[in-house]
Parts: sequence; C-alpha cells; structure tokens
Amino acid sequence: MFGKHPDNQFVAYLQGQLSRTAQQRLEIHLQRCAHCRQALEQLRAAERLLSDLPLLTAPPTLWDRIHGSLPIAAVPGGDATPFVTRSRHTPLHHRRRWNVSLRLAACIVVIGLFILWPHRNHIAGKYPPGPTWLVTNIAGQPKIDSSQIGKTERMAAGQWLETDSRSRAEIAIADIGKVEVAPNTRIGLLTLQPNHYRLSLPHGDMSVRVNAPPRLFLVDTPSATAVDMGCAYTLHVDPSGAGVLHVTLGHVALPLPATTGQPQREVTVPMDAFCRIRKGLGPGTPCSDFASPAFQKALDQFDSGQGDDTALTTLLKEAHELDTLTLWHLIYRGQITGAQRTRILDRTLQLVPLPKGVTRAGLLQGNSEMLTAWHNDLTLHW
Amino acid sequence: MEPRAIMLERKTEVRLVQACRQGEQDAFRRLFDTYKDRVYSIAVYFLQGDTATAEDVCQEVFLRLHDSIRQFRHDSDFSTWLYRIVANACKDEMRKRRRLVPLDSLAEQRDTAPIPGDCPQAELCEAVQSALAELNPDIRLTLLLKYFEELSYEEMAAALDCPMGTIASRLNRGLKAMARKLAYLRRPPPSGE
Repeated sequence: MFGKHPDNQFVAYLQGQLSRTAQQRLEIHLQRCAHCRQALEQLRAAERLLSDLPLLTAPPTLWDRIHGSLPIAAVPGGDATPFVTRSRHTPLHHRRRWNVSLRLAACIVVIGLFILWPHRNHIAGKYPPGPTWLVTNIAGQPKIDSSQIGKTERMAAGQWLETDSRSRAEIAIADIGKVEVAPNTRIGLLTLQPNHYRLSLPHGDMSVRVNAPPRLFLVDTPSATAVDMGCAYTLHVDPSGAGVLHVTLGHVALPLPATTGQPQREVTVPMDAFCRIRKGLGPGTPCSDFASPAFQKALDQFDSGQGDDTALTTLLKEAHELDTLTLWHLIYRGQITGAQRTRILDRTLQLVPLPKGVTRAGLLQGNSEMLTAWHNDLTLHW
Repeated sequence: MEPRAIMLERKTEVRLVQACRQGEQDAFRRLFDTYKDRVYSIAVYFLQGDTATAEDVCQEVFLRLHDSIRQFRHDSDFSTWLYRIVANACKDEMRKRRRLVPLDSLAEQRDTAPIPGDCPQAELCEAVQSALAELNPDIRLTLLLKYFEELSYEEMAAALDCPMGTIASRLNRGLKAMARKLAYLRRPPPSGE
C-alpha cells in the first residue's frame, strides 16, 4: 500500500516505537535505498528544528493580570466554633434530647432531598418521562428551555439547550460520549432511544466525541446531517444554515440530498479533514487539513458551482497524496464534465498507484468492482 | 536529570499542589512561576506568534488551574494535567478564531505575526513557526508537546485525551508535513551522524 518505500514507519523508527524485527527490516532497507535515507534525514532535521524552539519568557505583567482576577482569599485560620448559649430555664437533659431529635430530623430531610432531588423535574412534571442526559454547566448561564441551569441539570427529548456569548455546557451522550457546547449555540435533543440518538444544531458550535457503533448518533443542521461512525468532531453552523464539519478522530458520514430513483449516497469525512456544508445545498467536498490554501480556494469554486478548467488546473497542480480524498469525491459526486473527470482520475493515479486488479480503463467505464476496490485502497491513504 | 532528583522534584510539586488545594496563594504563585514560561511558549508557538493572545490564553490557563485544582486527584502527573488545560485553552482560542473569520479569508489568516524579540535564531524560529501555522491545531499541539515539552506518548495521550494510536498518527503526519515545508532549511547534521 505504500509502494516499495516504507515511509509510514519512519517517524515510529525515529521515536523508537518499532518492534526490534521491524526496526531491523527497516535498517536493511535504508542501507539499500538512498531515497528513504534522504526522507529519513529530512524528518530528523524537522525534529531538530522543533526541539530547538527556544523557551520564551512570559511577560512580567502576566501575574498581575491573573492575581487581579483571582477571588479574594479566605481569612486564614481555623473555624471558630460558635458558643452554645445555655438557657436558664430548660433542663440540660431536655436540651440534649431536643438536639438529638433535631439532628435526626435534619438528617432525614437531607437524605430525602438527596434521593429525590435528581428526580425533582420528573416529580414536578418539568420534562417528559423517559431517558434524560446529564448537562453540566461549564461557564456562564446556559439555559434549557429558557430556564437557567445550575451546576448540572438533566435534559430530555424535545428540550433545547441554549448558550449565550459567555456560557458553555457539556452534554453527556448516555454512556457513549459527550458534546461540548460552545457559546452562542442552540442545540435540541430530538431522539434519545437506546440505538438511536438524534440532535439538532440550528446554529452555533459543538464538539463531539463518541465511542459507539456507527450510525448511532446523528446531528441535524439546516443543510446537512452528520452521521457519527465512531469518532470525534467539531461542527459549526452559522445563522444562515451553512457550516463546517471538522473530524479529529475516526470519520463522519454526511448523507447527500436524495435523488429520486437513486440509492442514498453520502460523503465520508475522515480524521484530519473537513467538509463545508453549503446553505440549502448540503455537504461540499471533503478536504484534508493539509491541503494548501490554493487547493482549498480552487475547491471552494467547485463547491459553489463555479469550478472551471482553470480552477481544476490549480487543484490538480497543488494536490498531494492526502488530497486524493478530495479528488476521489469530485469524481464520485459526478458534478463535473467527462474531460474533467479524466484529468482528475489521471492525477489521482499519479499520486497513488492503482491496486492490483484495477485498471484505468475499468474505472473510466464505471466497473463497480474496480471502483470499490480502488476506493478501499485510497482510504488507506486518507 | 538523575532519578533521585526527579523524584525529589515530583515530591516538592505534590506538596505545592496540596498547598494550593488548601488555598495557599503563595503556593499558587510558586506553581505559576514554575510553569509560566512553558505555558506561554506553547501558547505563542501554537498561536503563530500572536503574543497578545498568547498572554490571554496563559491567563485563562492559570485561572482555570486555580478554579479546578481541588479536583486534581493525582491520577497523573500534575504537569500532564496542566498540559491538558493548556491544550483545551489553545483549542478554545482556535475555535473562537475559526468562528469569527469569514471562510474566504482563512488563507490570509495564516500569515504569522512577528516572532518574539528574545528568539536567538530568529530566521529559523520564524520558519518553524510559519510551518506550524499551516498544520491542523491538534497536530500542532501534538508536535509542540512532543518536541518542545518532551512528553512521552502516554503523557500526550493523557493531556490530549486521545488514544496513543492517534498520537502516533498525528506525529507521523505532522512531522512529515514539517519536513516537507522546511526542506529548504536543511542544515548539515552534527558530526558523528
């Protein structure tokens, strides 16, 4: 899958993370391969440059700023036990009995509150019966259905969490993950069934981390739905309904608008890649985080329907191995001319050679087995 | 550093953290003095030389530290826990920036600010900083924690709250990208290599 140069092992080799056998095999290869020796030396040089970054001196005003923002310290010293004033009239043994009774009563009340407090909203009929998720107040004054929450609150299907410019919150997704809710965000819980969790994000920012089987956790935005495949990602939606999905772990599927008579298709956004969501049009084309600014600009033109041959030339010129993610999706989406498709295909083949059993002619003819095999091979490079 | 010295340093740190948890401001000041330069440096390099915002991020880090130090249970080294706060604060700042900048000006945003004046090898620093600026924030943080702070894979995984496999993948991609971008700077290897 990496041709004849095991460059995927170089960093691990430099870090001492390879097994002894793998290390020996690599060293034998390095003795014979000048290309790999050079690549390794470039990595070593990059390591040295990073390690040589100097320690900077924090500005002297920093402590003053921090100190000025700290709460006023409590007065040091132990608690002063308040004196118990003895009544002149009540006998001592009576006072002791009352004290014990009062303490016992207080304990019962506290225990009762402790048991009933998490269910207060159910008891009060505040939200519908059924499963709820824990919401933690991280900063400021988030609200659920216009009511400010305390340190924690529970949220049920049909309810909406809203943060203002200073507040943030965290929602525990059952026991499979969490959602961090940024300021100026509105999130609704739509479905909280054991095998189907669905949220709505009309606007704002959220950061998701899920550890669950694929397609269990979905987020609807005005222009697209993000389908979790076991991952971590951030999702931004602006007030117009456009947005950006950025995946930091695993991958996320974004279903494409359905076409009558055609099976449902989707784009897949892997780790270290993002995908713009276009207002009213749905997902754009996934793009690697490593893509150059010129590549991204050219891609934006295609995603906005203004891609021409000049933009395509820029795109193909700027493309590297990781950008085959974008190139494949451009071919797959079919919103390009036949001549453009051929150019994109040829550039992709220059960047990543075809696997065995797949031919250029077969791909151009749309051979489904070859397309699947080619796609599976390409995903190893994304 | 020899193992005994490391252990003594850790014990001192544990006592300092304990004192902070009991509200001793002198202890918090000493903790601040121990880590301020490192936290500030990571913030500056992560934020592409933006010293003003780095100072804001630094302030946020230490305020969060002050607010949450009672919750530190010594499940990990204190420094690992601190770096988690630093990573989250840096990423929060990036999220703020990404939200506020129109999409079509992301390319212009990548210009780095002037590097701090106390950097002895200014040209190299600037080149490294420019290259870092083009990386994904998570990868940028991973590289800084690995090469600037010299954290282990386990420590990075704890600080960045992700599996070690993810750390390995980010280092792999990040270092390759840095090598590509900095190839023009290659200097001769030290003698003996």
